[in-house]
Amino acid sequence: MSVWIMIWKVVFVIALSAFAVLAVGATIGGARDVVTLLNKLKQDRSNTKSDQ
Amino acid sequence: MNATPEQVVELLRQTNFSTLDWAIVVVYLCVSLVIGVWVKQYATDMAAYIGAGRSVGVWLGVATMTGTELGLVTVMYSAQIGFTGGFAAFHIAVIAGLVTFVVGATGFVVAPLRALGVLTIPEFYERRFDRKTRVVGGVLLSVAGVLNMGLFLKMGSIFIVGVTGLSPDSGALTVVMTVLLLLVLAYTVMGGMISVIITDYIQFVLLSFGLLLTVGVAIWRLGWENIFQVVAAEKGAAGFDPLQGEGEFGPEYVLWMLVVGLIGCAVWPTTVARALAMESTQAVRRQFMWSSISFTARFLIPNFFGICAFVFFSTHSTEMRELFLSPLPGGASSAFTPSLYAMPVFLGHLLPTGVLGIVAAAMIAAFMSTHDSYLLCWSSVITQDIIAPLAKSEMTDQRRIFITRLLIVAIGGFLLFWGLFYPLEGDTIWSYMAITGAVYFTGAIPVLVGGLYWKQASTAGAFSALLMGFTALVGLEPVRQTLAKTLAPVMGDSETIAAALSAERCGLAALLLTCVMFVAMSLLFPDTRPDARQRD
Repeated sequence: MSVWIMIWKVVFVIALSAFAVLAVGATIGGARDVVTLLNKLKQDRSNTKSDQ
Repeated sequence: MNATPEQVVELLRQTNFSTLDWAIVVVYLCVSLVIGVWVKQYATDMAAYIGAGRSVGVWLGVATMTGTELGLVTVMYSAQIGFTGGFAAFHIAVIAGLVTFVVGATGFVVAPLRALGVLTIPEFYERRFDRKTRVVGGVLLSVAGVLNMGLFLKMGSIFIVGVTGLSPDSGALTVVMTVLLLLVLAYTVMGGMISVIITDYIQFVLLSFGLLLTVGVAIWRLGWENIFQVVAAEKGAAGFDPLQGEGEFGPEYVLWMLVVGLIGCAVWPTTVARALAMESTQAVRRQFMWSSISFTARFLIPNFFGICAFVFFSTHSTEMRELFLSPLPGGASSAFTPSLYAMPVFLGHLLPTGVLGIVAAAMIAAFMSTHDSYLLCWSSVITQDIIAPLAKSEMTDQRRIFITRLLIVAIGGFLLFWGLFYPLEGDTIWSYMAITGAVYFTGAIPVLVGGLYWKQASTAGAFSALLMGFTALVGLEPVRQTLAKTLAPVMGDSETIAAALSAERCGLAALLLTCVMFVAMSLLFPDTRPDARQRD
């Protein structure tokens, strides 16, 4: 049982640390991507309007 | 001592949730709704409505995929598994993370699907096989998908009722279910995938930091070593070793989780929909490799909350221990399921006012981000893969969007009905979801994998494998019980038969059956014409 306890402790610490890093990365990078996405959709919409 | 219904209500009311917490939740909901409705202006055609114009970057892809797959229902059922199974439940998280990383590194299924430029999985069925397979695949996918999300609404509402201290018997559950549903429907109907992705991003930010904060507070209040010691004392080795047959899991369960983990990232339509919305196949791979972290965390953190709830109720007070860890007396409270209420009630006791409001808003964010994606996914499959192929004339984008919106509302109505009337006894939520999902994925695995990687895969093989997926329904608790009672006169004790027909065994058997059918029928009835990819 003590081996399993050690395994789950290590797994938990590693997974949680990785998730914290991911949360920060995706928050910053995601904000940039949202702006890019909206700009592209805005561009698409004006292209559609000019085609009409 | 057994708790009376009045004592149950009184104990549940002992929460730190206050007016300030309600205010935080309401402000969050308003902001989310306004943004979701604001981006409606960009949903001008079907590709934008259901695929966000295929312009999603890697980080936004990671955030939105995490937001979708880390739903409140995931938090609830994972907490339930952690509460009942202890640390042994962590094996589900480890398997999910490893499998997602391998799929990302190899591009297995998701990269070739994105390269083909299809909008939905059944669209691939038509390109590879024929239109009939697309329609059958669409029907199966939508039936399984809608059934699969049948309990989402109820789980979300149980969380809110549990954390806020409302009475589970007072009708509060129904009111909360209705309000939550109306909120999600409002912005999903209007803005489609663009609303879903933008709101998912906001929900991801709130949810990630809310979860991390809660883990910190839980460890601080309960003590790191104490959590392990209490589980060891109460559950013994079965609380840590997932392979122990006498615990909650065992080797068959672990194998079943390996299959479910693969499906969760490579075949499940809401995840694949995210891959199909990415800007390139390279971005898809990176998205999956990064998401392996969140695919681990989405099980691991709620498992941990369930474990902490178990430790808290084991050691907090005699009343709480009786209420949550002893079998419930028949008449105590019909709407009260201890293993489901444990985590939200625990959070209501653990977190201070203010922090509780932020965490509740984060959990509601989790609820909404999953609902919106699932509603959009199943409704667009019905429109694109069932109604449009069967329509006599070509449907315009505006007509498709209109039908998709109507379907979103109709599925919402079903969720309310199903959540109110489906009996929760017997199945854990996770088993229910794995089995309803299996109706689709047991057929979809051979058809997708074979269709992409095996030249001899034929329409007859695909068609029969998809239909065979329905055999997975045997794994549902009401079906198992009925079958066991029917077979009892010829095969012996009905309880033994029901136990032998475990959910994981039924799921694995259904998968084996669909694979055998797919290969056998493909070899016996090969296609006489090349598939659409070769014709193109």
